Amino acid sequence: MMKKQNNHISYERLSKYFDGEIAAPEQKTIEEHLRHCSFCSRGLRQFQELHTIAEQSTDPKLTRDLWSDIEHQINLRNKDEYSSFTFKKWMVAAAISVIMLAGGWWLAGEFFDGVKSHNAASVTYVNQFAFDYGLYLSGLDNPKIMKRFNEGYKKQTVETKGTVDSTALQARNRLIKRLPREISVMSTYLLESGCCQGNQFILEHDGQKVTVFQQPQKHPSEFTGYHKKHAKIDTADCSRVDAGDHTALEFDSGESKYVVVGRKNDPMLAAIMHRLTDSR
Amino acid sequence: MKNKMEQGSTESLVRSARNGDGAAFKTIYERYYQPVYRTAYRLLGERMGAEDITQEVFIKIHRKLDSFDFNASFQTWCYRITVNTCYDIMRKQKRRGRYNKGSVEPDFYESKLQSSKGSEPEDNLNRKVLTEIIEDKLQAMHEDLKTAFVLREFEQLSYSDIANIMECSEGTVASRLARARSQLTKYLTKIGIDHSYFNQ
Repeated sequence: MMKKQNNHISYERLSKYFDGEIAAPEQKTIEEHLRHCSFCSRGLRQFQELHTIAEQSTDPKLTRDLWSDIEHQINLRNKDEYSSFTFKKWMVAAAISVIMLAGGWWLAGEFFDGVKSHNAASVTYVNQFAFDYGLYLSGLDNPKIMKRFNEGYKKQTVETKGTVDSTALQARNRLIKRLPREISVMSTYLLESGCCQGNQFILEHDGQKVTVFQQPQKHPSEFTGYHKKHAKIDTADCSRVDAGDHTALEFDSGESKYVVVGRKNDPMLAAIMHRLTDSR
Repeated sequence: MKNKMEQGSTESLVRSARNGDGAAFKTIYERYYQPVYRTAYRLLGERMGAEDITQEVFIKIHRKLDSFDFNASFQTWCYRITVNTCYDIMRKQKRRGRYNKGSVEPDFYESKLQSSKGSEPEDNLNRKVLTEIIEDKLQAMHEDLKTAFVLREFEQLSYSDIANIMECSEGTVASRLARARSQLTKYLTKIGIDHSYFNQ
């Protein structure tokens, strides 16, 4: 009944015995064997040791509050579903109206022009979700400007839609792995917009705060109205924007835009940008 | 009895959450986020990814609440969603060649253990290193073996629950668990850690 290899109990049987998943008669046979076999007894002890290590291991702790993000995503989804439901209802009502009134309306040539004029252009929408890096940069020296930036940012997160896109999550994990070791990641944010998702990290080293943004290239975020200077970091051609005591480095990989913001003359900014651009 | 009561209150929470009660869903989150996060962390081997997975799992749970069958255990259902979400991510990472294969050389741990001897408090430190060894080695394991081990040893679930979560038979769970244990103990022996180490 008991499967044996070289007269020893197989790992599977021993493992089941350890977990108490063996029927009573077979259990007795195994116990009898264990009394005389040091090899199998040692195997059993190793299982016990593995179990002890697992049992005594510390549970990992969350580094951020997840609930607010989850709640936000759920609310957005509910809103989408409601909009979609309302839209469908509207479509049905419109279709019925069209059928009922088609006979009379065909005489009114203006109708189709009216429909055309409601084909919404996306320009306003895109501008609304643009991320103004310049505002953020200036806000680091001026709380009023930062307040304005944050208000715009909140508006942006409330009005956007979509779920966490794994491409953005993977981009985030890739970026974190590239950061220099001396840097601590204080917090991370997933930036949502109408067209795509990006990442923001708040980092710290030696008491200095550094912010890193990563946005897909198609995202319309820009340094509106700021003078950009050329900055070469290793082999990468970057732009530099200065405002007050702070500076921002920008690099466009063709796929993503990276912006590193921090104190002027902080060598870590260039080090981070080097790591972000180097390992692509 | 306690489990039944717990299950009962979970059932009413799920029913309320289905009807759009946000507070009820928050209570569900507070009750289950830890096992979800722990499992994701052990399967993926990194905190940030595990946090993202936890977030994704709860959004999925919310979306699928209507399909939950009250005859099943809610906790098992949460575990199943977690494991499947982790599998998706691991497979994507594998396809893109970024899968964490537990690439640390055995020598690294041997020297780490040696250097930890004599430190204070020695036993706790050694246990911590051993946990690191196990967690790292788990990443190199086939995902089915790793999942069976994590659910049994870290989450202390029964064979029947694991079979339910992994959608396989209890016999398959037993076999995967034995293979996982065998690989881990052989690895520990290979790097010079066997039962004598624990008994010193």
